[in-house]
Amino acid sequence: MTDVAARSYLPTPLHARTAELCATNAWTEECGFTVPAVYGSLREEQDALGARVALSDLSARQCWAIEGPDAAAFLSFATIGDVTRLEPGQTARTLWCDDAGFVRGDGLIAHFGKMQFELSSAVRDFAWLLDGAQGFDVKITNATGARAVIGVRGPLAPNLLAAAGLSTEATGTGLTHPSWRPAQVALMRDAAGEGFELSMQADDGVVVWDRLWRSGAALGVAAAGVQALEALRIENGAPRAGVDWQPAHLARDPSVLRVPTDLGFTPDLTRRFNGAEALRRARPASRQILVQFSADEPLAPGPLSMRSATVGRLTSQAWSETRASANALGWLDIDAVKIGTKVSAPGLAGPVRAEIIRQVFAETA
Amino acid sequence: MPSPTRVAAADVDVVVIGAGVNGLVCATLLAQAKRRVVLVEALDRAGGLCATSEIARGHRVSTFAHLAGPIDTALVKALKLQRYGLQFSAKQIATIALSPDGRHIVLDGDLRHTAQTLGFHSPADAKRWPLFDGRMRKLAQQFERWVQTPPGGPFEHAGSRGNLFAARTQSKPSPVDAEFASLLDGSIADFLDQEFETPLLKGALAFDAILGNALGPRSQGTALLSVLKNALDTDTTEGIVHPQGGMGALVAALSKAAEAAGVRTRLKSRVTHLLFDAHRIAGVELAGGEAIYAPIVVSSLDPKTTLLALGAERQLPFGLKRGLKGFRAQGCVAKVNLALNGPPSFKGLDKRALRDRLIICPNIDHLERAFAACEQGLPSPDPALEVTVPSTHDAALALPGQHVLSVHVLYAPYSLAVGTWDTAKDELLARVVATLRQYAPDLPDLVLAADVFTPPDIERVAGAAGGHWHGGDLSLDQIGPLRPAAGLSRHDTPVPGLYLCGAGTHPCGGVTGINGGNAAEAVLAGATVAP
Repeated sequence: MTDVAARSYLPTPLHARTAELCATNAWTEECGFTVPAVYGSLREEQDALGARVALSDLSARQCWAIEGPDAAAFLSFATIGDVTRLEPGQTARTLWCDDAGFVRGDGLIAHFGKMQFELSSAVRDFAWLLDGAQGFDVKITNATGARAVIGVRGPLAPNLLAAAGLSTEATGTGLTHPSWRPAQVALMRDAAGEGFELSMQADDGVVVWDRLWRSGAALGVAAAGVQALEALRIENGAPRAGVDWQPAHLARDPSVLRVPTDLGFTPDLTRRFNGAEALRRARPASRQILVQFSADEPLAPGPLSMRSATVGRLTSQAWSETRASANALGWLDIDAVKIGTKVSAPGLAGPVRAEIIRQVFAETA
Repeated sequence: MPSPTRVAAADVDVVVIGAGVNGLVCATLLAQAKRRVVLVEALDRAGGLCATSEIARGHRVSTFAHLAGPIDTALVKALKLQRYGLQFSAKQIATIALSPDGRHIVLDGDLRHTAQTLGFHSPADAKRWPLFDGRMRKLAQQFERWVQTPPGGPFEHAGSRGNLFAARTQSKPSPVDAEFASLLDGSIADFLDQEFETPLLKGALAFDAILGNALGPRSQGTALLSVLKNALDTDTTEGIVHPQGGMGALVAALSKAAEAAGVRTRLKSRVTHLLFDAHRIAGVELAGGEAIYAPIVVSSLDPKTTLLALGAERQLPFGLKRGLKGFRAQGCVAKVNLALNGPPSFKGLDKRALRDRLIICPNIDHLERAFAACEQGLPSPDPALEVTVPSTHDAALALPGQHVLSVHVLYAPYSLAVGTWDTAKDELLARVVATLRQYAPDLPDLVLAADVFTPPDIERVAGAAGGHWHGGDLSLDQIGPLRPAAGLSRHDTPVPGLYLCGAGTHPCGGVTGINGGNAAEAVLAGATVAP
């Protein structure tokens, strides 16, 4: 292949280790990087995630460094959160909106202290931040590929971190300096609260991965690829940009635009941030909400119907080898949401009956 | 940002930045409404693009813009400009498309006369002209309110060009909607090609549609510009006019009106920063450190400078900043002023017709070729010209028996791809004189002195950003609710108390005072859009 093709999918900072472990040689593209889809067996990976502990390479994400005297003020206007309250060492999940209040992206802000922040996201929106920075005394650089991020998930995740000498005390979020390596590791609970994410400089990635891998041997640690993580994400009801919702700048159909509350965020509208005024003026009434489904057969993305009427759309689906059932996320008309009822969903070989399990963000009802 | 060193007395309600025509109109109307107004101007004179200057001893001419209007008579009356000395040496100035062989086409609003002159070129076009004129008037009527007032109703705060069209489709249907829709998208060249066969007529009409913009006759949306231009000229205007004494006389009258209304004008006072109280405007800071505090600031500077270069950047939504950054406002028209040792003799043109506006643009291809050169950063080798000889109706502008001639030259790029304007000016002047010679063979021998102003000169001397005649291109993505950017078309801004009133706002540039008048209304209505 040409050099251009080789460059189109970048290796992550952990590629040396993931390539060793990826026995299936089944890779997939995430945010411009190549990462294992399945390392060995999906069943084995799901078992590790559900009953033991698994490591994952989560480095495939956009990463932007924001530094300077106005860094906190800039991020407080750029995103829906008040970043000036974020103490050094803390991290926070956030999202950012366009001028009309529709969500463009979501991500994680880490405060490294000394007016240095980092925003990581699966959404490519660097130019938006750059353009918005005019007037703020900040320097924004695209640090994508400069950080290694390791996911540690499963019920034994705290045990693994403890064995590796990484403290998960207090909230389990923040920066930690392991005694065994002069590296700064940002440690936080993942979105579903069932695991941790460790972020560090790219050069430190392999060292930390090796330390975790060795420390986890006695706990039955395994590596989990994208397919297993996707199944876990859907089971946990975590919507994903570009899959379950479309960033406003990429959406072609206005009907798929989302406001923060649709995605489980309740911004403080008394604060000034980009899009706040539009949300204050005319908070759009959500017509659809995110719902989790289950089915006995594999599902496929597509329209959901009840009594021959389309009532929503299925956006994510995964098959659980361990539970022998399908899990799915989708947007459903508010009027059609009734826990326990069934809708007709697309399957691999014709319509499948899928049961409404729960409303993902109860507060948006 | 340095701290202001001195604080003016807190007796100011409004600071207006920039004493161009729109700034003067806005300041005066606000002062008439009992607001205490301070008008600050960076240059040592008011007027911006409107000025009268001397080319040579005894030869004075409008330095930059050389015609005004259409100005609504109601505005002239409201500002009491006649009381303050404004007189027009010519009104309802006609347009004459010059032909090298003397078969000129006269567009003077007299349908029979135009058809008669057009008949020498094409009897079919002569027959079509009255129908065409009627259709254009009908279309223009639909736009009259739209261009006279800030966008509202379905157009209000449209977020994109797509919304502009959505708004159009929601508007009340009318018998001419099909034409309306096609006009919005099409080029003036395509539009005219469907209507007429006379190259000279099409060249002149295309010239008028695009004049002042970095657009060619085959650029998208230029057909709409011809309609907008007509829509500005309503029944209540005097049409295109020439102030007695040149454009400087208009400024003098406006300045007197402003002073009489109580406006305190401060020349040589460049604003370096806007001042804020939390997120609200609080005044301006001048070069030298003096601060003038006021709860309202209205800027007639170009929108980019106002919002992106004076400290308001961090108050703005990101999308708005993006939109503003993309606002195109680089001039492409040069101005040439000539002092003449006698009246020029244009072939086939009665001396009385020298009071009118003469267009030299033989056909659309000529204009397109001139534009193509400009796009490549070259002065047009064969430029298209708009010529006036104001001394024919305003004798005081020149010594007895002598004249001044004023030319807008299409096109002259702001930045040259090769060389600099310092060395290219003489060549530009030579091309203009050579072009004029084809129509007035005696003209080269009459030239006593000449001034040439390129877009960078216009920017420097007139204080007009980019040296652009309209404060920014009038193109589909920069008009109506999108001028200067989505969310700014009603003169208010996301910064409470900060307003825009310059030529870069809706509806367009030109010397109409509409922008200033509408901005004053917006201020008085207290319209505010917070971020």
